[in-house]
Amino acid sequence: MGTVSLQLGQCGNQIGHELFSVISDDSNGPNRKKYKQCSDERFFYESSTGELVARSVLVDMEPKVISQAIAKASKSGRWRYGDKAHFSQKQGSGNNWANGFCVHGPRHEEAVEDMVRMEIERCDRLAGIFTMMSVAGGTGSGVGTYITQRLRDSYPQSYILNQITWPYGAGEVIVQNYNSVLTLSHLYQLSDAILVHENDTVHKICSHLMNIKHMSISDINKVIAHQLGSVLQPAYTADSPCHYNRNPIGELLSSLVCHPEYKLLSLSNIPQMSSASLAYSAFNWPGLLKHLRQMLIASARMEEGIDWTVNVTSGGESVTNSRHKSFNSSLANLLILRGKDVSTAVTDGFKDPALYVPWLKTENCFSTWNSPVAFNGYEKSATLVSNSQYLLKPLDNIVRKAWNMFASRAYVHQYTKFGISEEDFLDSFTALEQIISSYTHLS
Amino acid sequence: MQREKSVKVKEVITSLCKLLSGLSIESIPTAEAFRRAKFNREDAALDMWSLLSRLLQRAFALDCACHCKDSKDFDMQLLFVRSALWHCGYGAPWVLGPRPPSHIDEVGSRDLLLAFGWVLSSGNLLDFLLAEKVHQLDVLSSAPTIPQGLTHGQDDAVTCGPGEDATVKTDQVLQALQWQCGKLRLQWKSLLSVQEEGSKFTHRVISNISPSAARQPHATGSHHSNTTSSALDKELERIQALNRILEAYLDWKLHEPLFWCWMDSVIDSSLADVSEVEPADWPPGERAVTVRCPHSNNPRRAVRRLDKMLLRLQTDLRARRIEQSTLTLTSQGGRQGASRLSDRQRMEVEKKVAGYLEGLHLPNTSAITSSGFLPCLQDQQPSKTPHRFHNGEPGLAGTAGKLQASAALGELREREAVLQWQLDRLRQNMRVDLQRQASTIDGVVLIPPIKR
Repeated sequence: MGTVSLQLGQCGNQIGHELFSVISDDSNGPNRKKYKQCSDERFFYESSTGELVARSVLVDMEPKVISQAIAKASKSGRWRYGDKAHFSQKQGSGNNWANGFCVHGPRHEEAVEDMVRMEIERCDRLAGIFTMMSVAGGTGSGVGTYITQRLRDSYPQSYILNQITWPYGAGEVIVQNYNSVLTLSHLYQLSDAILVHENDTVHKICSHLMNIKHMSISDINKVIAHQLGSVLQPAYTADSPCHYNRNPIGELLSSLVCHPEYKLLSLSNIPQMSSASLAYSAFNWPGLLKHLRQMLIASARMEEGIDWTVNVTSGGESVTNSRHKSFNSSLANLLILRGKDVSTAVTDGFKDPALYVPWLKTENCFSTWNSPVAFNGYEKSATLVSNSQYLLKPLDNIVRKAWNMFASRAYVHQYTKFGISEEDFLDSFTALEQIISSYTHLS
Repeated sequence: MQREKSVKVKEVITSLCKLLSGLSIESIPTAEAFRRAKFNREDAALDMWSLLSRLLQRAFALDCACHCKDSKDFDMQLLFVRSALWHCGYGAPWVLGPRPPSHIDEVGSRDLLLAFGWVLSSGNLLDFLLAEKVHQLDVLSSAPTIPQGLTHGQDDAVTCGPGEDATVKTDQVLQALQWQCGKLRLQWKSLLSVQEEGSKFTHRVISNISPSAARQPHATGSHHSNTTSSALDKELERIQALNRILEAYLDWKLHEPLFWCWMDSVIDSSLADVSEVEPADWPPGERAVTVRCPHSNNPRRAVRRLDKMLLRLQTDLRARRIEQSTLTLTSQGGRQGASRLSDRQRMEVEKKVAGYLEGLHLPNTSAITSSGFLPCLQDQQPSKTPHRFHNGEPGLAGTAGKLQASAALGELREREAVLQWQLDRLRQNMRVDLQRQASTIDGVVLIPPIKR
């Protein structure tokens, strides 16, 4: 059983490398033989010389980031990337989604597809395809979307989970909102689920919780990798309570994204702090879960500054009692607990039917995974993967900003010259409006 | 030529029979019985009857689970077949007529054959039966769907009462159903990957035990049976059966157009018979729904003939394409022969079509044009026609009043291009006009519909 990863573009390659590092470090901790075995089988294969090789394909239109990732991986001494599993070119996509999707993607599809096929054939059982990319740039978003489309055609019966990184609201690239709108609307049709990280949120976690003064991209990527690792590492689930589950992506999807209209997943993780203060902190499960639950309903991005006045009200009450602030309603949640004494953790706070839509029974919308193995240096840690209104506001922001630019046709010619017409833009806007409306009607 | 054609028809029908028996429909008649039924022979009636009734029983198995399959009671069978045919919208007199046949013997074998053709062509019965069979043999090969035979999906699956409350409730029920359906689909994917893993491991185990058995799955004999377990044998049998059915289906799909050509000839021969028989004993209302059309109804016959001709041409074209591709594969020398042959054949077809068109065109011109939208084939451009032939055969080109198929096709294509151009221009004008109008209204943005 293996999960094949795809690292697309600069962002995807950096996050991918961090993810494999976190997983490898975590699996090599003490007292975790079976855990390591399961994790290794999931993310690596053994080469003929006995080295661990990542089940991953690296794609970028520029060579720099890929060669860095490959060099760092082989320096770790624990694992490396495959010799023929990377593809790069000399010329980037110039932050233009259309250039990636219409030019670079089709031009190199065969080479990339061959690499992915090699990795897939190496798995006895393909547990899913996991892609990592940003939505702001050109290569990750444009080529990534194109490749996802090709993979969906070639592997219609496999799970495809897309991890995407949303740009800073303040803006890195002038056309980032265009790129985001085009990527999201296309992926929504292709992917089984889209796991979203917002740069703004992760940045805040780094500065407020981890106390990092001079933040680098690598720090941000480490936080994302930590969160992803806490989801993807082995755990006991409802389907396999006695063995580490062998179908992580499948189980994740079938507990969270069964409805075709709702595919956006957000991640929150607790606790997160610098390694210096970690040594002096003690956590208990009730405290962690109470915080995590309040983060969920108040739609808080991190543990600090949670609004404790937000309360869950059932539908009837909220009409009569308008003093309550509206809370973040969920379609489904998955709670992953790792560390000491997980069996004592009480998760009843997440089983409140008022948190969820009325048309689903709670046993359908809430599930728990756990593992007694402490994750990545944290004695206890809890991760919540949520299909909820959490991403509604940032999504609305992106669409609004992109629409404002589109209304004056700014930069549109940069896209039309590669074959993305104004009608394609309008289709994308319509699709995203539909998603926004679906999520708005959850509550 | 004629002989070759009849051989082909036999082949086609045999492929259909193979497919039907693969779909486990019992009592399939021979191709010969089909031929006899075309000429309304009495001895084919029983064969056709049992085929039709078995097929209908399978098609409606979901709807009438209580129906006794081995019913020897012919009256019951007759009633069932008639109502089933009525349900599929088949309106032959023996099904709908005021004086239903009291016994099977009264229904001619050709009528049964025609009914069989109707059942086959309405809905996609064969596809449905195939899907069902494949699902039986290989539970995981297809995504979970709602079974749907000849009867189309009913809208009243979720009953809703009047009032807003009810619609909200149905909406929620629908959402919950969509969720459950999605869950099933995801779990199905998991099971599929487990199955794949299983087969990979099986292969590895077998190739470790005996490398030759894994490399030669068809190896038979004591060696084979020694090394594989009975469960594996069963698995092999299952997969082979599945392959046989899928191959039969592909074979049938290849030949299907020829079968419909042949069915057309059945209808023709039935029409020819009708013109001799006095059709006066049917009330006029019934006559409208029957396949048999009165002899004097010229335009309809003309359209039928046109349809038929089109089908024949398409079939010929397809056959030729297949023929050519296989010939190209075989040898270089063979290819030249083929092109020469096909040239001659094309001339032959063109001549034949010209004959058809002429026969159709001359006596019926007024009838066709008077009904408005029917295609009107003009022949008053003798100056244009000659240079349009590839091959200047003087006899054909010179004959006034005759219309050549190639000329007609070219003409139609030209007209199509002109019309298309006009349509595009009109569309463009409309769009510009619309945009102009929209720009005068403040605060309105027009979003075109989603393409997919």
